[in-house]
Amino acid sequence: MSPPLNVYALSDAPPPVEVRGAQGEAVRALPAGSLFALAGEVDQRPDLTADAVRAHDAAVRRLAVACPALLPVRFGSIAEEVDFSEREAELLEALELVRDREQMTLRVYGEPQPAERGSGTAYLESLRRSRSMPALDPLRAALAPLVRAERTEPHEGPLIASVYHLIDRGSAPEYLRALAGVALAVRVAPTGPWPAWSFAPELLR
Amino acid sequence: MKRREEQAMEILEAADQSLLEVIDHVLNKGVVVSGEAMLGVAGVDLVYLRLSALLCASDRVQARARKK
Repeated sequence: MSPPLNVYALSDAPPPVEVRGAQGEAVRALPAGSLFALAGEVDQRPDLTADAVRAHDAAVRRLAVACPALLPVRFGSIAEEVDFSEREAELLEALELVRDREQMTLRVYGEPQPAERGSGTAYLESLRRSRSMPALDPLRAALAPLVRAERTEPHEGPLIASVYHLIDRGSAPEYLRALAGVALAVRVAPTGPWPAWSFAPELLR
Repeated sequence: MKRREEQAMEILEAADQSLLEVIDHVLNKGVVVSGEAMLGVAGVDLVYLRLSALLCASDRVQARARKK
C-alpha cells in the first residue's frame, strides 16, 4: 500500500521550486489528468489541532506563492491516489478564475433581517435580497475596479454574511484603502489576503 | 480517540479571532478531494454554527473595547 498523501492544493502546473508541506515534508506534484495535486507523503492523518490547522494554512500559502493558479484543498484531505476526471473541466475553469489572484474575506455584522412571510414570491424575493445583500452596494461600487469575482454567504444572527472577493495579487493594500473610505449601514471586518479558499467549484454553485 | 467534531469544538472554544478565521477557511472552504475530508458534512455544519457565534462574540468584544 502506498503511503497516505496529505493533499494541500490543486494547480495546473507543478511548483517551479521545492515547497515544504505542513509536516516539513517535500510537496510533490501528482499528475491527475491535466491537473496536479500538490501533496506530501505523511505517516498518518494529521490530528485536528490548532497547530495542524495553522500548518496547513501555511503550507497552502507557500504553495500559492510558488503557483500562479492554485485552488486550496480542505484540511484533512488524505488520499492514496487522486482522480479528478469527472470534475476536471470545472476545476480547470476555477483555476483560470483564480490565476494571479487572491482572496479578501469580509465579515458583515448588522441587524438580522427577519424572513418575510406571505406569498412564495415574497419569500423568494427576500431570500434573493439576503443573498445579494443590497446593504453592500456602496461597498461594491467602491471596490468594483479591484474585485474580479464575488461570493456571498448569508448567515443567521448578527454575523449576517460573509463576502469573499477575488482580487489581483498584490492589490490588497489598495482594496483595504478603498474599503476604509466607504460608509455603510452595516459593519464590515476584512481579513486577507488569503489564497482563493472560497472559490472552489463546489462552493460556487 | 475523540470524535473529530469534538476536537473541532475544543479548538474553536480556545481560538482567538485570527485562528477562527484560519479555521473557517481551512476547514470549511477549499476543494474537497476525497470523501474522507476531516469532518463529515454534518460536522462542518456544526462547526460553522459555532464559528459564526464565536466570530460574533469576539466582534462584540472588540466593538465594546473601541467604544471605551
